[in-house]
Amino acid sequence: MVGASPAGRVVLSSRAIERTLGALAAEELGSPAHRSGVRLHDDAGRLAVTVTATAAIRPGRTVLDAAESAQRRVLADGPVLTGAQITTARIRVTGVHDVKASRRVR
Amino acid sequence: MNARTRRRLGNRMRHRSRSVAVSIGLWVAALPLAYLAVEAVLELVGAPALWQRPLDVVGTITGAEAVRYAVAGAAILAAVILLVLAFAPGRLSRHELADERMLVIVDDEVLAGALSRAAATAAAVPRDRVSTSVGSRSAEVTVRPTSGFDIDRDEVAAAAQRELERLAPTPPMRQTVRIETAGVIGR
Repeated sequence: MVGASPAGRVVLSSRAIERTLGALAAEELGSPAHRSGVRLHDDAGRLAVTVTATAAIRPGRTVLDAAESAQRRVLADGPVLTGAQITTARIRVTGVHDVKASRRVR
Repeated sequence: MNARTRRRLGNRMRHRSRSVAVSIGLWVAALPLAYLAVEAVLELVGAPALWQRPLDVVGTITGAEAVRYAVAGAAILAAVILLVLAFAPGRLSRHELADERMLVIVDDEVLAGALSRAAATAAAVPRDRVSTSVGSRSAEVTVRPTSGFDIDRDEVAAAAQRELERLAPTPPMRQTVRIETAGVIGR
């Protein structure tokens, strides 16, 4: 959460990290970012992330595929965006929804 | 204030005074002697003794075997305690800081606080994640990192070293910096 600068201190709040990682996972899963839940844990000084979100059904893609690409995305882009070292990313898919159906509801 | 006076004053404030031990020791030695003196005078003027005649007092405390050992044991114990108090350095947990015009003596907690602050700034963690313990000639700084963000140990050690050089405590101390393995999720 940091940068040692000449004066003052730059701190990245854990909330900001959570929202960023949640958004990354949600994008891969095809679900709205605000509905993903993220928990951060310590893993010997590094970050372990658990993302809980729903996945959108898309033809030709299994829920497992979606979850795996979400995991890869968090591990690859998470450190780039937040500067944090992330060791593990757990993705929990708690439900599936149809993209078209949910669009129609709105 | 010349250098000698200054050093003496500094030493005085960094070491425990022996005056309490000295005064207790003197009282313990003086009271029995005063008692014996009183008995001796009473003996001389032919008045009845308060407890026993002077020579009988000595006989009583060295007579029965149990009493003799008890008295000897107490004397040895007192002697050991007094010798330790006399020869131990009696250092207080304080250091003298370098200052041109004044004699500055600080408690070690103050030094620990200064080192913690310097380390926290260098490590870019909140101040409450750094703890420092200061001994007479060494200081150990322990930093708890924020999960996901590595701390450069050398950088923190350099900051602690700079702070030590700035304060220049007497007696001089070495610092060691330890970064804990487990991190904390930041706020």
